[in-house]
Amino acid sequence: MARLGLKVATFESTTFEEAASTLRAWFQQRSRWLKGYMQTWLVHMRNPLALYRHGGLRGFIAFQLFIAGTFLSALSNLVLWCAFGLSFFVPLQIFDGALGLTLTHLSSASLIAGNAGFIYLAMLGPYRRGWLELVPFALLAPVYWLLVSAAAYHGLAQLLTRPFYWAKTPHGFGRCTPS
Amino acid sequence: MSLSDAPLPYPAFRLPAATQALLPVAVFAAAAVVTRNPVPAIACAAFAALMQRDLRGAGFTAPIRSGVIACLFLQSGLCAALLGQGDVLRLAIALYLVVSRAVAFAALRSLYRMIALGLALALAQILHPLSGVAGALSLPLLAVALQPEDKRHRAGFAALLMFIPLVSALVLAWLYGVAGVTLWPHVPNTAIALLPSLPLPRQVVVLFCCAPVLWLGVSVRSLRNRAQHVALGIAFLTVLVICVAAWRGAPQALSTTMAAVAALSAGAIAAWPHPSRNGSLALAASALTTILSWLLPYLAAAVLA
Repeated sequence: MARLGLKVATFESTTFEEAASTLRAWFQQRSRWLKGYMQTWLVHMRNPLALYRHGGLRGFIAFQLFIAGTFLSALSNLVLWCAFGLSFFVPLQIFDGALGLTLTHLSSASLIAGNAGFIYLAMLGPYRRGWLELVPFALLAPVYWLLVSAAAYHGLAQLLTRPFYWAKTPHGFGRCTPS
Repeated sequence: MSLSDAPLPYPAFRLPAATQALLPVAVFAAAAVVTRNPVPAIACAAFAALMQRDLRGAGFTAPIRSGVIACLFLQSGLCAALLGQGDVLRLAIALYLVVSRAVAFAALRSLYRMIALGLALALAQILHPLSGVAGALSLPLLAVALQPEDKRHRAGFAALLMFIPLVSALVLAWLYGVAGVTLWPHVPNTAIALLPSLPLPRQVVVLFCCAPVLWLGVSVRSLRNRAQHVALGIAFLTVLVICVAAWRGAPQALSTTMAAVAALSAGAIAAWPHPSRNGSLALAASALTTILSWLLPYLAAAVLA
């Protein structure tokens, strides 16, 4: 759409779409979404120069951050959490000296700030709606990220093995379905 | 609606915005003259600006605001802080932040007030360890802010309220343990001999008597609201924390607790209901607090001697 000169906008409203009601359905949904991101990126990056010409520098960077950033962050999440966990048992120092120390501090700060910011935002949303009972579940955000990462790997495997298969999300299990 | 709360039939007189800066500038000048150091003077000016903003938001008129703030800075604990105890000034500012944000949240449970309270509690940990501990202990008091229908969801409320303070505690622990950063290198200093030293139990009695703003807030029916109970609770816990710290061997002086109570009183005044009717009373209570903060410690010391 952007390459055709169109724009996407959002407006403040409530989405009443039913959320995936089981972990399996949710996993398949995320896997499909992330596979879609990967495929979109691959399609547009077949000719990066054409993408740059159509979107300009700003559009090109936004495309990389939004489309590639989404699945790359999901894919790297599991690797980084594993490295973090392993670092407690095995010395994983790649860089020595001041550079290594600086990288350690930067990555620790990023770990704390990123996770804390994400969890807090996830807490504020339900609070704003008056759904206090949902607030504690925001503390599970790191687990959510791990599941998203697993879904990204599942999507990547599907992209390689079954590129034209798109899993459907079953709906209609909620307590309130539109009549 | 009482007559004094009725809207005025003419536009209310408002000072130009530039004049709002006069009070912090005056506080900065006075503090700079007393301390001969720009850092505490800037801290005092920021403290005054913050109090002015809160009192203005509460509806107190400019003369009352100026009077209350002047009375606060003239209290013995803050005078002692200005004359050489930077950490006590930090403690007072941190406690003011906590109590003012807590009473604001108790009065109206909005999202932004929740975030402001969380940030105040985090900042209190950074500014002074005692205010961090007192702030953390006072969190259960905010249960009074819960609506009856929300009392089933205390876990969610607690998680949201404690999240920022817990993360900041984690960051502080990480800074101390990994990066070797100490935020409070000068905290266990000795107090200057501005106020007489008193045994701990007598300090508590003196402190209670020196805080008319706090006990008026909960004993006078027209001033009483749930925010006043939160303020009094935080004041009680703060004094308790300071007493425990002193009992455990930390060199806390009477001036430390006096400064803490002074800051807590100022925070409580901003939550007084009907400022148009109670402005003079707030000023009188502040002035009384100031006088008692100078008179009672010496009186108690004289009686003891």
